[in-house]
Amino acid sequence: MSVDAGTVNTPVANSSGWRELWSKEDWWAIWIGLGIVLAGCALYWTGASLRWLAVLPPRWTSFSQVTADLSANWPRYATQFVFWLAAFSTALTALGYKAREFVPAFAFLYVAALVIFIVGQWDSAVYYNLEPPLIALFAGLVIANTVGLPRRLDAGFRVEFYVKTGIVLLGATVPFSLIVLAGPIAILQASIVSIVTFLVIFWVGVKLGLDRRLAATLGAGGAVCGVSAAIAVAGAIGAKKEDAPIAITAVILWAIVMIFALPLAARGLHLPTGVAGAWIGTSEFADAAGIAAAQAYGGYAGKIDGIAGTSEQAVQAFTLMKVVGRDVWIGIWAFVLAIVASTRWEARTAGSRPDAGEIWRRFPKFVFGFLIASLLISAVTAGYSLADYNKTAVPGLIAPIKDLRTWAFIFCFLSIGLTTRFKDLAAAGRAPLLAFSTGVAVNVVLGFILSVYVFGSHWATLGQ
Amino acid sequence: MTLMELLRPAFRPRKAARFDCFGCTYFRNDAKTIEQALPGISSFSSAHASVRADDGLCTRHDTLLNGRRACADYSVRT
Repeated sequence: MSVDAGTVNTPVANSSGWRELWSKEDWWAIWIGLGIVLAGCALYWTGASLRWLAVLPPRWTSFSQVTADLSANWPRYATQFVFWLAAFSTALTALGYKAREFVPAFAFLYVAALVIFIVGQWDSAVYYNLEPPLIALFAGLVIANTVGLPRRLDAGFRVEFYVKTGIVLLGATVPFSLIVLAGPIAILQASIVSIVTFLVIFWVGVKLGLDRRLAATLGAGGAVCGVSAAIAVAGAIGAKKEDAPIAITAVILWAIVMIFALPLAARGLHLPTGVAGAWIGTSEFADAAGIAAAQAYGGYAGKIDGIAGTSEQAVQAFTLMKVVGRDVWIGIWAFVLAIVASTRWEARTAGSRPDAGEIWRRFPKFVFGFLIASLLISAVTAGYSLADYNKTAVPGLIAPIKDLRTWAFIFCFLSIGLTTRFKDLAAAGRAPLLAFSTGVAVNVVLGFILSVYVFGSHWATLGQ
Repeated sequence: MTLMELLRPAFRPRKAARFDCFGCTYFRNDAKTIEQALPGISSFSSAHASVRADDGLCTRHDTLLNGRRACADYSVRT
């Protein structure tokens, strides 16, 4: 894709400062996620709950149960659709999208998500590997790469926005004490793997003759947070325009392979859900892909013999590892690499030096939403005994937020498939793919050793 | 060069650059342009993400770069 040079004056804006509060999707994910959490708390205090809105298809063995649920609860599904539509279209309009493009796209997404949910709730689904994240991803990939959908509908398939909203809601289901206790181990494990993976990809890439900026962009994509890290580092070091798409291609290909491969391998090894979540958090490349893999694996808990733990442990371990252990450091990676690029590598353009403000400007702000949601719910339930917590707080406050979170994630998984058109991806070339794949191999093995053997007992008993 | 010497300039307060990329005719940083120029970005990320900060495309040097930079080829945006 070429960009006209100097002929079309599209608006150029500096998005930092207060402007970021309405011009970046991270903040919109916070507004929507925390809005739901605060509404849940307010209703809970008055003796009500978000349960009516947080409707889910029931578990079923006979299809008549599904039709009975739909005929009884269609006003709830319709209200929920309007709620999500209003929330997301407000945000996306502020981000510059047209509501007339978003509305039909989201209507399609919601109906498809409902169908996938229904399939996933089938009692025998797990025996056929019909976990909702995997079905959503696979169905989306098939549609996007066969019949295809009009590109204007991409306005409604906002993978990153939905996953960030889901992660903020996830915060409400993770006790803050768990973040404090498990966070440092997640940071330690993730840092070891991130640094080693980056160095391997960078070293192999340079040995294969790649430009150091491309090697660093690939390294960040493999080591930190996938596509987001690749574009952040590419921008910070002034990489060539074609470098980021090469890294994006490598990340997408491997991330999709890992969505299916990691849960399959963990299932074969009968890893406890917390351990598998930590491994996926260490070795997946993107938040959305990792949540899909972790949620799919969590779905095996209690259904597949030999897999210990709960479904929440898989998602919580993944999130601690990926979001707290890896994502939050992207600003520091970008800042340090920008200094190295401008002082040690050849100068590509004359200009100003990197400044430490980059660390803040590139910070993935949705993480604040995750932490604040966790703090809020922990504060509301602080005085509860375990029995009261399970009897009143879980059904009245936490479970409805968890169910709304599940919807946000299903929107995300479907959107991954629907926006991944393999023919659109840039040709990565042999050397970049080889360098990246070497890093993947090291990352997966090292992540497995750390998750299973070094910190295995910690992750297996997470939150217990 | 020690690590501290390397990092010190980055923490020094500085004046806003007068001729940074934001005012340059070659710089494009609107999300739509970025998503069109970087195929696949919206599958697992977004041009609206905080991590992109103020990065944009320089059509003069064909690079993706931080909009706070400046260079000798600056050309005022009209």
